[in-house]
Amino acid sequence: MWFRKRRDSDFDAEIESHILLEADRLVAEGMPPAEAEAAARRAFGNLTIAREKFFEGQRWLWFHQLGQDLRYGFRSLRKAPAFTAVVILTIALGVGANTGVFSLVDAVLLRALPVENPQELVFLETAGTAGPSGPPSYPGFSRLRDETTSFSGMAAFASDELRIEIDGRLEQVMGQATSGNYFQVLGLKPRLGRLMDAEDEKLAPAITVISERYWRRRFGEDPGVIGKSISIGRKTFTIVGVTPAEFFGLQPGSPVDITFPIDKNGELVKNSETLWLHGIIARLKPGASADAAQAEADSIYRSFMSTSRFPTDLIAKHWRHLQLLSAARGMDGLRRRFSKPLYALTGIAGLVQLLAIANVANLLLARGISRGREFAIRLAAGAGRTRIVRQLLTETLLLFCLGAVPGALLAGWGVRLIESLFRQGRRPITIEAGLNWRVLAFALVVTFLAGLISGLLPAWRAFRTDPERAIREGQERMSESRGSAMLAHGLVAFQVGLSLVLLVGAVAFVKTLASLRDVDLGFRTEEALTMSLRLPEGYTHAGPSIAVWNQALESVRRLPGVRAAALSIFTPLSGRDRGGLVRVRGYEPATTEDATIHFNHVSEGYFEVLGMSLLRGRLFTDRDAEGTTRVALINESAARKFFGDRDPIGESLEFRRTGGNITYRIVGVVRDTKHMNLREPSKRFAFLPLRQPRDVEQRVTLIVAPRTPNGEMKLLRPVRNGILSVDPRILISDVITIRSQVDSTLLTERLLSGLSSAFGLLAMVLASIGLYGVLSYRIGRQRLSIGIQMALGASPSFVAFNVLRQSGVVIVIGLIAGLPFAMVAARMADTMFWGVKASDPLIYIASAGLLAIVGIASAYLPARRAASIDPATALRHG
Amino acid sequence: MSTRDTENERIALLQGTLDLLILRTLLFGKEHGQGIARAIQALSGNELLVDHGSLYPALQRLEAKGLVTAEWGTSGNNRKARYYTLTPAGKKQLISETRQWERIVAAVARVLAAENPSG
Repeated sequence: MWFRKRRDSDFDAEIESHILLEADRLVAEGMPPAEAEAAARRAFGNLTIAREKFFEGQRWLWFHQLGQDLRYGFRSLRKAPAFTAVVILTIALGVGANTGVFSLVDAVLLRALPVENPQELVFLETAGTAGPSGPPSYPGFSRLRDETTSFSGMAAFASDELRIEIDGRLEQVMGQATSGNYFQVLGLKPRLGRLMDAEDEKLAPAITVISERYWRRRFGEDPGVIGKSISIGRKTFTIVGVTPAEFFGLQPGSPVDITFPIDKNGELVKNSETLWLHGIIARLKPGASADAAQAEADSIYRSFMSTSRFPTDLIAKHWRHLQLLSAARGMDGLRRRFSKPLYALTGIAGLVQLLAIANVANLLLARGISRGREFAIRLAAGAGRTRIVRQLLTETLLLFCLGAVPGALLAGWGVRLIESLFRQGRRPITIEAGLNWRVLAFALVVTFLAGLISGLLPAWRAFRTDPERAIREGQERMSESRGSAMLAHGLVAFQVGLSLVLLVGAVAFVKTLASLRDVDLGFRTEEALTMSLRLPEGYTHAGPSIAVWNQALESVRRLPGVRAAALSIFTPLSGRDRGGLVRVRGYEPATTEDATIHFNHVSEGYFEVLGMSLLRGRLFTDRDAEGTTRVALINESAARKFFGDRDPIGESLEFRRTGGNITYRIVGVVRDTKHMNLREPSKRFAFLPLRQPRDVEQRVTLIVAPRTPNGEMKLLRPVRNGILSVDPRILISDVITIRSQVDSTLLTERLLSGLSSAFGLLAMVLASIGLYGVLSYRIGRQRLSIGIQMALGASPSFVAFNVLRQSGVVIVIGLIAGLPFAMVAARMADTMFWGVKASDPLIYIASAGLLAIVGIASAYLPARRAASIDPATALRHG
Repeated sequence: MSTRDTENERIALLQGTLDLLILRTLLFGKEHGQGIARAIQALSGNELLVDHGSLYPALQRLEAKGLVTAEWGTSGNNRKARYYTLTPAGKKQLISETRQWERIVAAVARVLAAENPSG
């Protein structure tokens, strides 16, 4: 109960009535009325004391005193601005780091799909000895949907970047084709209009549903969007509804813009061997066991696969059985990729928080000791011990609340920065890590707990203050207790140890990023711009497509700012890839895997513009076109695999293909390049001329190098105009420089090295501030004894050396204590390192050395101050 | 701002006694604060002087503990006054505290009246 039970006025009225009753009695006893009241008042005694006691008896006193404590706290914080600023900054750092990291963890790892009962949802995916490999094909899905009984609903979905046309304007969106019941299975309600249902699969009429995000971005939330049409390929779909704002699709990180029904008669669905679906999601019937459902679905799946035409070794490896996976949090691609880095960041943030707590506790202790006299006086004046402790805790919590506000702002700013980092690259990842109630609750709990923990020690010390001794002996003597010095030094050593753990992590992550940047990519990353070009519908034959690509390339090459230009299906480290099966004379593949090769179609000039070097033979020219011998280049890995020591030049490469195999003659060998990932070894690659394609491509990547350094972005407009002059319906998208494409594959490494080094350095600064604070404070207190020492003949340099020696001991103790923890932490993060190992002594030596130097440097000023103490003044004034 | 923690120990005894006396005065019916003070003074043969500064907080406390209830009423000579009534819990408390008081008095009396054991 916070409110007062009885009002002051009621109490006053009672006392007034007492006095009147007493006066009445006195009158009755014969006293003149005029005197009676005054006499009654006199007899009652001190009214104020009675009121005060009444007031204290009320429960809301607690609240009133809190207000008092807060006001007092504000005043005393204002009196020590340097202390307040350092503490608030420390807290802001701790709370900010934790809130920021938690909001990322929440967005990427924890958040459940905003659908009805997400825990009932499961994904159905195939798996083999090589691990999981996506859902079965559409015909497999049909059988599963029709024959299983454990699910209340099952839906298929497949997403891709689509070239669409709205009001005659081309654009690229993230599109998703789903079975008609998709939204029913998820249990979603429309934001506007209606969502799809099973009837819509007939495509009569063809309808589509757009996301709230897309509605907002593209249509400015215009309700008139219902009824508008979108052309996808040669089909026209009518918008009938908008999905709810909080729903982004089932793949965290890649929000879906438009959803339309799967065309059951479409090419992709009819082809039973194409494993093209993105996923199958199903809702377990209430009470149905997941194990039974899995067994049921698996047996249906196996019977379906028994008729497959795939080689049995491939099936065993990739598609042997069917398994259920919780879909409560959506597809796990993002979680798999970021769970480890995020756990590492969580650990780092936790250490930062511990360090912040230690730092604040230390500063509070030092301040508490220097306020010893104040407390002693308050105690002696009659303040309760509990009251002083409460005052201290209130002040600490006040500090934490003051720090939490900039901390939350810091977190918000950092998270926005990280969000934008995620959005870079060819495959932008959209995460919504903004503040929500879970993040705010987390921040509040962290703030409160940290405040409590760091306020406890100083409060406990204040609790033990003996007022008599404190006043008699003064603050100087009190502070000299061995216990308090040990405690302060212990806290500094603790901070040094924590800083060591953080710095070791930072050094290892920075080294990892540097090593990965030093990795030989096999191609040049400077000065090239890439963009995706997509042909309009209608180019189904190789001839016309090639003609368009030729013209586009020529128009770009004619631009004055362009040094070189080339076309390819994809570029290295773009995240795209293709593979095929080949037959090579003289090579017997042991498994299907052994016969695979990755391949790319490229125009002449591709190797030159990317700086990939030719090892043997020749590169492509513009004469490698229709009507001449089909030629191919292979990379070193492919040459080694298929030809060993033999010379591959002149040999033939026969691609297996539905609709007839196709043979290329090898004319050269190029150097290996990194393709999917900087950490993996290069893959076997074949390069085929764009003009002698293995199959028709609707989409190519243009690579342009500018004539002037750093001029690549200036090329964008003329290049776009040049291409659109060939065919205005070509869709240009995904404009990105080769350098940022490489950078975006290093996203987690950049994130970890950036954040860990920022936190590591800040930790070191905090530890130095802690050391500096403790030393300055102690030297201030020891003026007298230092003065005596010097009067007895100690030289200033001896005094200074003593201070440095003391701090050296504290630092070394901290380093020794921190080392095992640093080693354990590094071992836990070892798989994330590259070019450096957890067992590498250098990372420990470098971190410890850095810490020791910074620590001694921060002890230098206090040491000099100690050396400059004038014994005469010190002795005279204490 | 207050000396509660240290003072508590000192007034503990007095407080308990005053509480007991208040409960005792209310045994025969409701009474207001001034009446209670008068009654204690009168019944003790003017030996006990009630400190009004303590009386009202004591009443407040007893009310908070649920040993008495209070309501505004009108006195014999038409003054508004806050009347206190004993609750069942208050009666029980009165009995147990009276018993305890008797034991203390008896014990103290025995000690005071005892022959010097060593002499």
